[in-house]
Amino acid sequence: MRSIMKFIQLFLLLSTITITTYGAIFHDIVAIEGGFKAAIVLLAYNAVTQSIRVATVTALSVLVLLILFYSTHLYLDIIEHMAAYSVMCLLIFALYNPWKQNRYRRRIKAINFEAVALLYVVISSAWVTIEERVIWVITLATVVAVFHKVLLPRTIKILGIFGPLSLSIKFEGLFKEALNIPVRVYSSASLKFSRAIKCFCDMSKEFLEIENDIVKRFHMISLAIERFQYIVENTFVLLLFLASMFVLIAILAYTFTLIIVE
Amino acid sequence: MLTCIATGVTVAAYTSKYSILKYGSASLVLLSDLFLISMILVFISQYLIELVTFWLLTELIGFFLIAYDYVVKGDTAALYAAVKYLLFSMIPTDIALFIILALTGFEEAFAIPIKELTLNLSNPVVLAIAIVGFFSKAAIFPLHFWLPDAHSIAPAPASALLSGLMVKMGIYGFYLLSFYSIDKSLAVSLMLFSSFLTVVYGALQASLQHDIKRLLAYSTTSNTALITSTLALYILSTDRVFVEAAILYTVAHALYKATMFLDSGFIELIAHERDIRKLGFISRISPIETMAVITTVLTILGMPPSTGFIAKVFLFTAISKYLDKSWIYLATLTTASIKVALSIVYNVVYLRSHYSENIKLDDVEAFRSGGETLSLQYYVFTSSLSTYVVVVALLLIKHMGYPGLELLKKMSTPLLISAALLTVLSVTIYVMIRSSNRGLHKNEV
Repeated sequence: MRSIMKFIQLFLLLSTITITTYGAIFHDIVAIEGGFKAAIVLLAYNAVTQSIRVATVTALSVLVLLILFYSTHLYLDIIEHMAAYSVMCLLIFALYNPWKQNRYRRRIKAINFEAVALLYVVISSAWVTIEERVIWVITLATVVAVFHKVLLPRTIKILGIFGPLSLSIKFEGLFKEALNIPVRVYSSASLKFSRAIKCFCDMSKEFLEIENDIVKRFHMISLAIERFQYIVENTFVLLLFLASMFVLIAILAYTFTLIIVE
Repeated sequence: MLTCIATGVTVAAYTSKYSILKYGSASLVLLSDLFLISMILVFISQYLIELVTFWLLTELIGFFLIAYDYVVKGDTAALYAAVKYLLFSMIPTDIALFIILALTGFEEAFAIPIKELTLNLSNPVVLAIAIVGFFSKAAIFPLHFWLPDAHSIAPAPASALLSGLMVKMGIYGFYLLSFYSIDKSLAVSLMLFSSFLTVVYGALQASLQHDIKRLLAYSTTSNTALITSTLALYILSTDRVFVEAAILYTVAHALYKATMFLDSGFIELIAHERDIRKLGFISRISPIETMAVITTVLTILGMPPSTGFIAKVFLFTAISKYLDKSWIYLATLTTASIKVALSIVYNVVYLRSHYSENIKLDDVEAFRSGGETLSLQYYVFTSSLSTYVVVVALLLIKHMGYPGLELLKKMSTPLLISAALLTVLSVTIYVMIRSSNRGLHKNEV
């Protein structure tokens, strides 16, 4: 069961990367969209195997991502919007990651990889959309960084489940340092958010209770709405009954009047 | 038609087993099959008179399917749900249909094909009655409340057909309206206002449900409302891509919902429980069932190369194409995004019934004895695979020269890439598992 779930995860990861790379290389916006959709499913899949809280945070991330991704079509020529869009996406990933890091430390690497993969999709989309050289460089850097820092070890780890397999590929020297820059920036931003969230959770011991309380209130509202629905239904049935009685009486009265007149 | 066949075959096979296990006889099979056949006849009707006849027949059989537990077991809740369906779904839709029939004329209804009728529905009252009538069939606000009771009380295979296919008759009604002379602004305003409300309301209610079947029922209202809003955009823009998006989303949703309701029937039979808080051990009893459900959930979320993936890309591409034309498209994009986001939440809530860390192993042992019931898992698994089979069929249809679905042609490369990846990974893992099993066997020898 666990192996099959890991298989689905690996499939989604590879689909995201491959389809997006195809889109980026051949300038195919439909493929980029396909990659984006696969990345969204990957995020959702993560939530599926975890808690409702993670699902809620994922849902919020997905909501913002979808709106941002598709509304870029509105701003084809305005670079400022594109920059703001990229920054917001970065913030989402940074915010999304610590939530999961605090709760599931063992999966940090996998989560980091998924976030970077999604970031790659978004950046590729930006590149195809506005064709800026700077973003092209970032895209290339992210691809190599993802491959070197996360994809390779992660793939080896997943494949290792099914059999003894060991590989060691290392990049050396200045090239390695250059590749590590975006990853380091991302990691430090992620770490800062992680600390901030952790601090907030530590400060507020009643955080979980508040959360449960909110969920309970939502359930109460849901029940109240359903009760209101039943009242509306009953009222509607009563009105329908009264209306049909009225029509029946009217028909009878009309018939009797006709008989009397005749 | 393709959806009806894909859904119907698995549901029909599942029903025979389910009916014997739950009711001790195969009496549900005949009713369920008749329901399916009458629905297919609705969708292939050429003339209005045929459509009205088969529509009424479908509704009538649907009524008996919802009231089935009352007929067999004397469950009054089933009768109450069926009466509610009669009042809030059948009557308003039938009024709408008879108004259309009256305006068409009896002779034209027999002689002129339904899409070629020169019907004038420009009167705002008549149009509003027709739209509200189809709202009631598609379970859209303000006539949505019959659906959660009806679909949660009906037997699981019947719910699969009701939720997967019958509510789509309302959407088909909206599609037919687009062929006639109507007040576009009124139609679009009504359809968008109601569908936006229902999308958010249905998804929120689904996220807050504890009953697995009610959760699925509320998600149906949300999904049909999203399809309706896509059709409203078609009426507004007259771009065929919205119809294609709506059709593909309908196919994806029908297949998804059929599998999920079949799964709910399996859970009900094996655990005698529908409350998610008391479940969470299904993955330990039947890993195949859980995998089928996870695959289906991922399908509707848009996993390539499934029908859900194509539907989502079509839907969002179609909307984003017109974003600079009007704020309505942006509002639809936002609503669709909210729907997708909330669908993650309620699908996770549903999956809690399969997998939860709080369940003790002792609780599970008691449910392992249901050998006959366990065989239902294979039908659910087959149903979950149908989303991929339909994609192959769609690609073949396109390849054979079908003029529509232009975007599908562009999407064929991503689809092929993901299909190739899926195949290569599956084969690799199969070979690995097989070789490890051989190794184990040798060690045993």
